[in-house]
Amino acid sequence: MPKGMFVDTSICIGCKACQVACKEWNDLEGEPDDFQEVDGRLKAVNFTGDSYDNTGRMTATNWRHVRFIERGSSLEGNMAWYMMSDSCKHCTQAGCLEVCPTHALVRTDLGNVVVQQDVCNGCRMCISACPYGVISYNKSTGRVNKCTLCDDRIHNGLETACAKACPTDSIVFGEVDELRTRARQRVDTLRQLGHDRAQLYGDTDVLGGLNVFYLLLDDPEVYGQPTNPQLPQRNLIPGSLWSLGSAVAIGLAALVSFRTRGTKEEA
Amino acid sequence: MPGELQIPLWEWWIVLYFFAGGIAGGAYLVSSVIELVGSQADRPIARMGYYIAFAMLPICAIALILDLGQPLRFWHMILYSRTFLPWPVWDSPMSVGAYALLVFSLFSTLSFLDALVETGRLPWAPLREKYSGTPRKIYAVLGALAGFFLASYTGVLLAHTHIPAWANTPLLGALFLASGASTGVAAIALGLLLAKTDVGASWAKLKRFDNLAMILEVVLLVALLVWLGSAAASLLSGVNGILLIGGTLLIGILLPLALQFRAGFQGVKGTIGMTAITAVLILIGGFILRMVIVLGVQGLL
Repeated sequence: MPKGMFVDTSICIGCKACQVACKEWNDLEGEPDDFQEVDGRLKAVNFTGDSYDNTGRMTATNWRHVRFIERGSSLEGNMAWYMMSDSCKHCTQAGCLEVCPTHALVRTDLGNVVVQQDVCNGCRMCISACPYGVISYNKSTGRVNKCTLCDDRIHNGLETACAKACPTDSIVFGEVDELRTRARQRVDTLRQLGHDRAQLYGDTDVLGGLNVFYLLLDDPEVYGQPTNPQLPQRNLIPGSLWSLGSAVAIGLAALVSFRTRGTKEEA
Repeated sequence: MPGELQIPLWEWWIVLYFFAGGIAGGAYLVSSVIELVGSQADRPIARMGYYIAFAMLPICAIALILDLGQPLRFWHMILYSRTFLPWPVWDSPMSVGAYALLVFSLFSTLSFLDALVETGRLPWAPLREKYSGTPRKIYAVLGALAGFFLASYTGVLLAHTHIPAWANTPLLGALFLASGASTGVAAIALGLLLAKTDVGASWAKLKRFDNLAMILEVVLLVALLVWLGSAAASLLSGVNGILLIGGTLLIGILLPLALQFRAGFQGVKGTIGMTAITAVLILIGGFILRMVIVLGVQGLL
């Protein structure tokens, strides 16, 4: 049975204990400063500098990203501050895994998708095959990195480090089927409480189901998630057919240009 | 980039690979067509195409290897490193492309050796005795198919992502193929000039094919931009726009086309300068096209 995580953003308090636990357990280095000159001043451009969301995205050494999203206005009395602890979703239909030419990306018996570091050769095909921007290139190792769903922990009967550290149980680790049942009940409860837009993101409708899925209080785009992500293979057949058409046109052009049969030259 | 999409950071080595792969595929195609339907007078063109395709192979291989984060693991593209057995990934253009490059290299090398035997530059008796036109026709066909693939799969590979300017159109592979044909012919023309090989009336055939390839390239480039719609903005704004419209469309395609109709490829007996200028402009245009598509779209220019 696949294991995964249910992330209930309605009870996330943005403490980032998950982000720290991830760094700790996976022995990930601190984010390096990337200072560049902006408006005549040096600025570490890889940090936001204007938000509690200081990292802004996932990187090769930051496999978890806690988003802070402000909605509405305090003056109008409809202020909302959403938080979402984001990571690799370990998709059932994982584009990264399907495009990897070296078989470095594999799915384990527990359903999590991991990068085999001894196989990856740093071609970076997987990076833009992920609709969530989860996989990052690590320039210091020449390979790619992403969340492993704490592969070492879960294969030894432990829960993921982020779930273990979460003080509100906003992140829960377990068997995906059980988590989905629990999540659907939670959506019903929230809707009864007046959260009309409460919804699951990553049920079986998205890429065959995300093993790490979310309860959101608004539409996925509000949380920076694509509404209808697709596999990168969607373009394979149309792109190949158009290339074939071009090949036929070029081939005919060459035949017309170089043929000698029936021309004066041959005679 | 929309949302949190990450770019693959493919840089100059990939631009060089796409460019060299296009030339190799295009040049080999011309040679193979001459092999099948051309006249004896066209043979020097066919041989030059084989030389150029062969010369592009080390450039392709070196560029691909140096682009990797772990260059010494380049063989992982072909063999699974835990079993040392081939394991192609049919859904991955990068995997299939690596195998196609191998297949193309095989036929391209055979054709190259054949051309050396034909001209007596490979004075090895057993080979010369076995030489005949039949096998080279067979691998010209197979090599041309691999060459078509090599020149176009790179565009399909880019479309196999979530980056809008690459993925929102199926025309990139078709465009790269047309560009590969025109740059392949330009490389052959330059090669013939440098080798001071006169192919007489066959220059006109080379010119005719090059014009057709460039006309197709213009049509595909415009169609691609129209197809992309709003996603074309990243290709048309700022430096990208100047390079794509000015460098590729005007200087790299329309100007050579105009020159071709006026004079263009005339060979060693005509105005050598005009042939050389036309060919160099086409090559520059083809390189800039890949520069903008690969680097520009990622915001790396």
